[in-house]
Amino acid sequence: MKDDRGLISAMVPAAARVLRRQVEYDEVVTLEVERPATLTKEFLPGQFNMLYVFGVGEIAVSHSGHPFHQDRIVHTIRAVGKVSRALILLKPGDWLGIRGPYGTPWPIDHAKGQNLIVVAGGLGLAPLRPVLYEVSSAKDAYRSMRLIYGTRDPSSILYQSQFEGGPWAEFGQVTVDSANLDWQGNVGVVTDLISADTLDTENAVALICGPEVMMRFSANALIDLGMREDRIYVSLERNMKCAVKQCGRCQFGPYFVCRDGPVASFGQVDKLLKIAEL
Amino acid sequence: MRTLTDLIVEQGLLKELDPSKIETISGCGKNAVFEAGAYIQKEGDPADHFYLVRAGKASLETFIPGRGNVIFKTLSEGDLVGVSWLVPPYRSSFDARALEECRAIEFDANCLRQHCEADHDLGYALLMKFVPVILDRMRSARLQILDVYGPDGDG
Amino acid sequence: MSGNRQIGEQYRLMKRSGLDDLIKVLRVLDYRVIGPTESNGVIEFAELGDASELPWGLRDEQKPGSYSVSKGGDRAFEFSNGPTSLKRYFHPTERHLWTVDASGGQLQFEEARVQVPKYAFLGIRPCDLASLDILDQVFLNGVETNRYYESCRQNSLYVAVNCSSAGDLCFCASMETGPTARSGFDISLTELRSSDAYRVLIEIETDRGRSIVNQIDTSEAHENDLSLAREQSDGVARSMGRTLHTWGLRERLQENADDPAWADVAERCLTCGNCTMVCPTCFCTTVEDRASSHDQKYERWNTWDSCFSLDFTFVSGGALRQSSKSRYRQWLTHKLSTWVDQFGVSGCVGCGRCIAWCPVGIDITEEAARIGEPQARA
Repeated sequence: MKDDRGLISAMVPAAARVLRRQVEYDEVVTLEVERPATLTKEFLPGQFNMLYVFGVGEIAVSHSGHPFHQDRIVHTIRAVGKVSRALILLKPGDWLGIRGPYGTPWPIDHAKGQNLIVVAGGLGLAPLRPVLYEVSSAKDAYRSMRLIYGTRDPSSILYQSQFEGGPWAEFGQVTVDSANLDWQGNVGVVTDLISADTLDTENAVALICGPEVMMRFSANALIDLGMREDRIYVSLERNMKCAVKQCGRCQFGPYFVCRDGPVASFGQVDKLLKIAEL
Repeated sequence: MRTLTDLIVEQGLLKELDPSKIETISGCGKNAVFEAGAYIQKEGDPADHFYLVRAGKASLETFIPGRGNVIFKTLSEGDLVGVSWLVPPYRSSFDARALEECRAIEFDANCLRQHCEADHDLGYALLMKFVPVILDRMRSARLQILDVYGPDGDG
Repeated sequence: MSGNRQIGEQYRLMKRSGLDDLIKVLRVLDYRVIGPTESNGVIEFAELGDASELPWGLRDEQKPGSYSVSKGGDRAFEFSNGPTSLKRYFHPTERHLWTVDASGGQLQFEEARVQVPKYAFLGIRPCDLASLDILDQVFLNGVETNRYYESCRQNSLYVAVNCSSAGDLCFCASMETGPTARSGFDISLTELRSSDAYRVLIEIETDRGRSIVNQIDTSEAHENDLSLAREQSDGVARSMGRTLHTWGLRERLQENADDPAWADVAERCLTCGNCTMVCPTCFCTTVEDRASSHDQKYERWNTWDSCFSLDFTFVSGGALRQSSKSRYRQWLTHKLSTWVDQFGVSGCVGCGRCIAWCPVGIDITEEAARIGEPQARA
């Protein structure tokens, strides 16, 4: 027998301290965490981390911070299960475990010089925020930039200050599924805003993130406007325990979402998304 | 000065109809303006008119006690207000209201129904313009019912 | 006589006492010798002290949903296989990953100290040997190498045993993994079926294997010993109890996800996950936190899981694979189809364990033949 250390380091988190907690809306919180020195790899927009809460468990959460400010790790989390519920209750000074980044990034470079169309639904805006940060600071690199965001109602608009009067106002449009008269904006589903009148789909690259139903309908609306499936990208969500392609849980047809995803071209996954309970 | 025919052609929905049909349709139309907050149609009223929005913003909504007026669709330039005029009992299903000053072309439904009855080609051409709008609204309604961003959705 | 010509140095012959010597030598070399032995009515891998613990004169009878051991024959490897494969030695049922300590106010993660044993596996069937090649693809060619698996694999010594009879549920010939081991072993053994006394043909594949064989009592092997072994192998290949038609299978399963046949098998499937536990290549796991005796510490453990469990696919909206149909489909499609996309090989070695140990006797070879083949369903 020999004692081998370092046999499983890939699955050991680094301890990290919460610096800031911001409530976005009901049960949705953004945490800013000090980046541990041992996490040496910088994240790319679209990638995710595994976040661990002491004694509760570990889940995959997309990066939603600024890709140029890598000293802080930022995640927007919605309380839907026991780990995410514990995460949103963390306060500044509390500790958590982090490992990552994992997964495929949004193909932002592929969109350079072209029309970039970003379509987000609900909390699906969070994994796209790093893209919006990066693109906003280099607008000239793209021919045009459009952001279409659909959410449930005016009280659940993520990063609301970025839209009205904020840096995304000039290229972003919001629509909600329903509203009362206090709301001045659009009401209707996100695909209502995918129209030839407002989007230039020629030489365009589209990035879509949100519930699977919303991504399927949005991608198909873009295809109806003449876009090719391989120029449309979606971000997938599956159960994950290891994030290093060994627990087998995140399989989606032939793909491991932790390695082949979360970002995949619609052409790659279109057929699979149509299979119920895959 | 632009004629009503010109205005119809400027709106996406009907512009591809052939000129003689647009001429016929425009005979049933006139300009209308709704002040912000004014009702364009009310739930349960006879569907005597329908509208093509030229400028401004309107809503489709319903009143829910305790929640007030709930908007489920906003409409703007080029959008259609009212499809209930097409088939009996010609009764409006929901409230439509101007959210801001709204300019529209108002069509006399009775006039148009008579033209369609007399000229089935026109009727068919018009249905081919209206059915996609109806399908689109139905699809949207189903997605809204699914509440995909809600607590039980996956978003 | 040409039949009695000596053959290459990689072949030797041994008597029954050679097996005793082999185990002794391996134990002297500090190996934990793991081999088949009878226990509670099944033949399972366990640590062996000497060759008398091998299942001499025992064979197994396997049918869909049934397994029993009875007396028959006089050799050590009359049986085909038992419910345990080698998987658990390289990919343990549970494995401590790390400990987190919150007693100092902040969190401190400490990687688990892991002892990597030094195993010598004696009597590995060719199908089980092939399963290790498949697991290598999973754990050594991934994003991160599973270093426990890697160390354990490197530390181990492999003594294969070629099959001299085929079980009713065997289909290794279809999967091209047997009945004779081709690579991946240090030594392979073939029990020769002849009227002579008990003799085992030894094939030496590695230097490590040679140095071990040199320490035991063996004699020269001849051409006719080798041809007898080959005849046996050909006979076993011809008498496989099951056949799995693999031609076009990968495409057929992926393209027929909505075939009604999935619902048919789902009516029988209990989603118990037995097939995934006995499968030598199923590798899926979960993790769990265990409170340690000190309540400011938790241990993280990696444990076997199954794609048949409902929470396997849990995401924010609930479990993605709710129906038993979708879970059986995932298992079969992964094993025989998407595995090829992922790792370049099928995930099935044709051992037949999933058929024997399925409580309702679902037969993977029959189900695979039905999907996308309406004419196959009478």
